[in-house]
Amino acid sequence: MADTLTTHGNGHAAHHGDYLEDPKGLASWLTTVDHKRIGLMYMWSVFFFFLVGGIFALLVRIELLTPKQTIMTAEMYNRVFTLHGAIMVFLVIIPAIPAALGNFALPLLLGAKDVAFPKLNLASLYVYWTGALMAVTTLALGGVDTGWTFYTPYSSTTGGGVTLMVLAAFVLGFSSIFTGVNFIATIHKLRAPGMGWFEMPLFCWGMYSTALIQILATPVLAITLLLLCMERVLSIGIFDPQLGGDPVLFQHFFWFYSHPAVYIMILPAFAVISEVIPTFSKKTIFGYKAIAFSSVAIALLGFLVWAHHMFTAGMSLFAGAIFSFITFFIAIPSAIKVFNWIATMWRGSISLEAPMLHAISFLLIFTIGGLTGLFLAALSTDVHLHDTYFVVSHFHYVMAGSNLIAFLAGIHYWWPKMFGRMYNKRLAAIGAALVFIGFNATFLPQFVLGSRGMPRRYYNYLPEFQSLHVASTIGSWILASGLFLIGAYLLASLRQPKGVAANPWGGRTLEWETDSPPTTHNFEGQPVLQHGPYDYRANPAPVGVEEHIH
Amino acid sequence: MSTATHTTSADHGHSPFLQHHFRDMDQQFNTAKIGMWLFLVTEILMFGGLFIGYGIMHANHPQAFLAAHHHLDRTLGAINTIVLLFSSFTMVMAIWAAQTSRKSLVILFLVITLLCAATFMGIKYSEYSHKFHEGLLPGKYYTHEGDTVPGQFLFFSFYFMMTGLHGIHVLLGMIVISWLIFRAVRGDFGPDYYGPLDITGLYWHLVDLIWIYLFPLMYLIS
Amino acid sequence: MSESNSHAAHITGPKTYVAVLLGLLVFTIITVQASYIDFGSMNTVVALIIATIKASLVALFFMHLRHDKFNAVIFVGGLLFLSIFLIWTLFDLSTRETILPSNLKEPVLEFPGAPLNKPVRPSTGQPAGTPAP
Repeated sequence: MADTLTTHGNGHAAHHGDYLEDPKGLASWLTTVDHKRIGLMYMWSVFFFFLVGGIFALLVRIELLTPKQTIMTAEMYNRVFTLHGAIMVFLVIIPAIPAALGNFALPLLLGAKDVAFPKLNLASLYVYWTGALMAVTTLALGGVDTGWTFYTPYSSTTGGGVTLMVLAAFVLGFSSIFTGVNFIATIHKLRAPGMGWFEMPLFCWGMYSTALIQILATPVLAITLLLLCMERVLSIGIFDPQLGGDPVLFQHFFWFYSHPAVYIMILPAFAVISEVIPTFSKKTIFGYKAIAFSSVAIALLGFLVWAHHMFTAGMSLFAGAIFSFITFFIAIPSAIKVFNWIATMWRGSISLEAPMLHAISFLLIFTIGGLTGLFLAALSTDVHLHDTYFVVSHFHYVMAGSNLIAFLAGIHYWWPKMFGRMYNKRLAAIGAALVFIGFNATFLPQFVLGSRGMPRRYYNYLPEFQSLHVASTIGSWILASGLFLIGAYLLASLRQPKGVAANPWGGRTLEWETDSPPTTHNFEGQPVLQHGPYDYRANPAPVGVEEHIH
Repeated sequence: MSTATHTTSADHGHSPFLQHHFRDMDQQFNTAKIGMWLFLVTEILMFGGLFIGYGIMHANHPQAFLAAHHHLDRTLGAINTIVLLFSSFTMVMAIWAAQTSRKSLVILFLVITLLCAATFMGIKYSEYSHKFHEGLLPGKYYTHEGDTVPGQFLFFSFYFMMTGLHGIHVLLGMIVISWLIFRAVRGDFGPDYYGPLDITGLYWHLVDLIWIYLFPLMYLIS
Repeated sequence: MSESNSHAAHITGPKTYVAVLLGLLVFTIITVQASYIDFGSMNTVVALIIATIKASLVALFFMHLRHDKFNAVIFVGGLLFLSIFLIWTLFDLSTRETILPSNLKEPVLEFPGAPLNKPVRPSTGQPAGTPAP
């Protein structure tokens, strides 16, 4: 994928020392320590695996068109949804915003030349590729049928490529840890002179909170997966009740990572939205500190609530009540953010460019996803809704909808900065609409299905559920067509010559001060901060934005 | 444009070890140190998960763990503890020697550290081979005969996982220390530049810290 | 470069390091000796307290956390989250019956990876056939 990039725009070297072309050649990409190039390589990898995971998702939806077997057997269905889940979680959603957009944008936003440990950053990319290769290899070993959560004792006894898949997730964890270490050190030590903690763009706060979770939670996943591997290979006994172990203990270990990990997925989305909304509202962010601290609060509170995934797993009622109670507190910082974003838009001069369209659909989708989470946090309601399509729909609204739509917002926002080219804005608006409509058409019926008792992870179902399943499947096709449209016009934009202004959106953060695309070392000299990140008072009508609506 | 960019970055070139994206050696040193501490936190949480698993299984099977630990040799464990503590001491002495420009002492202390690590691994090897010989192995490979208390394989599952993971860390540390010896011989380190010694030291002390807890939990159950 | 590096400000001398090493060795001997004395259930607690004293010595002196407040916060923060993991897991484990006895009412005769090829009642650690207490 790297070579496609370098070949684009040959002969259009309009900028001096443009990072895309200086130096040239595939080898220079594979050995680069430039955070922007690493970010791009992550981005293309994420796109690729998003395509793979997306195809599995479409297969799942096609199978569910009819109440009986449609295109695959039950065993095949188990493997397909497991691969869909594992690929989307470990290879797409977790690295999407932090590793791809974060690597590209974070040092630029901070006015730094690079991340703190550039070689570690490159290592994280190679570790990611290694893990990805291992995950894909499991396909040849007969796939994995445990679901992405690898619950014991099923996962320690079933056949197939579970061991390899678990090791792949173990390896991918290291890539995530490397990124987290890098980001925290970068934010602490490489901010531009004059940039205090509260002059940082909110994107950096989001990345910081994400990195905290990556550092504190991922190692526990690593040891959990290692124990699971050893359970499979050596029968060490810790998670196997027949050997004296405790299978629920596995769920504690797993969710101590994986619940905070859902905030690894959502906090970066908040980070992107906090940049996009003020830029396209041309208005100072409302409640900067509230948004910044609520990110950190979510990151830390996220460590106290993991067992709400286990209410029906045989956990004690006492612990269930505690976890249920604390879970409600997560709603507070999340709501603070949504209200602050809306307050930022209020009486702003909003321009409905593609990133803003995605940001607005994020607000709607995240609100639905967040509020349905409260149903599941309540202990008594969860007993009924657990393992139904209600849960499936809820976490797709939060993980897939919110995260990936924020990822799309970020891609559209920084695309001109990354490549120096603008995409077709009319197609972009259509794409954003198709994604929004398609997403809701796919997952709103699933809330109804779940509340009526349709269990998750079944390849057949009662005939009375069929109409809602058909609606959901048709929705998935609309969603897919929107995503294909977006992919098509983004790729097409790379065929144009470079020529986007340094600041096409009129943003006030530091990345817009340098060229599009930036030079290899980001800035000419060391930028010094002279105004806050969302200070639109001094420059109410920035150049470069032609179409104001309102 | 409202940022006045372009303060000169003329600090470049003062030290051959200054990387391009840092303003000065101080910033580089402190950043590396934060990075290492963050990494150590991940190590603590990873080993911590194992310790918690060990604790829970120990609480569930106290007789089995008590009986199984008698197969370990306390004296060897204590000797290994002392060896590792001493190597931690020589590691900080190497940093002190670099801070005070005693270059030959840097090399000497690093070599002693490496030798201690090798001794540790040597003793570990003899302990392991003894266990292998007696069939005191983890999980389904446990074949020791004549046990009165069943379930002892659980103890050895944890024994091998924890000391094995710790041993891997010792081996990695030995590789890094060898590289430091090479650089010390080349004359890289002095009062102005000892960052690699410092952060490797932090790693080495953490390996020591983990052993400080492993030793009583594995060898001294009563 | 950068004149009088702040990180060079705290050079601890060999005397301190030797003293710390001696302290560590003394505590190692104490912990081995203490393990032969029967404190009942307190033996593990005593061993862990001594280990924590030793670990603190290493962290404060060898790892220079005395002079390094910021990194000390990182370090203690890591321990804090580890303790959250432990305590919150114990909320569950200590307030429910262990799941094992209920699904193993009868000793299992054959199971994959059985050690010693002898069935075990995991909850009690007793061999199969002996009645549960």
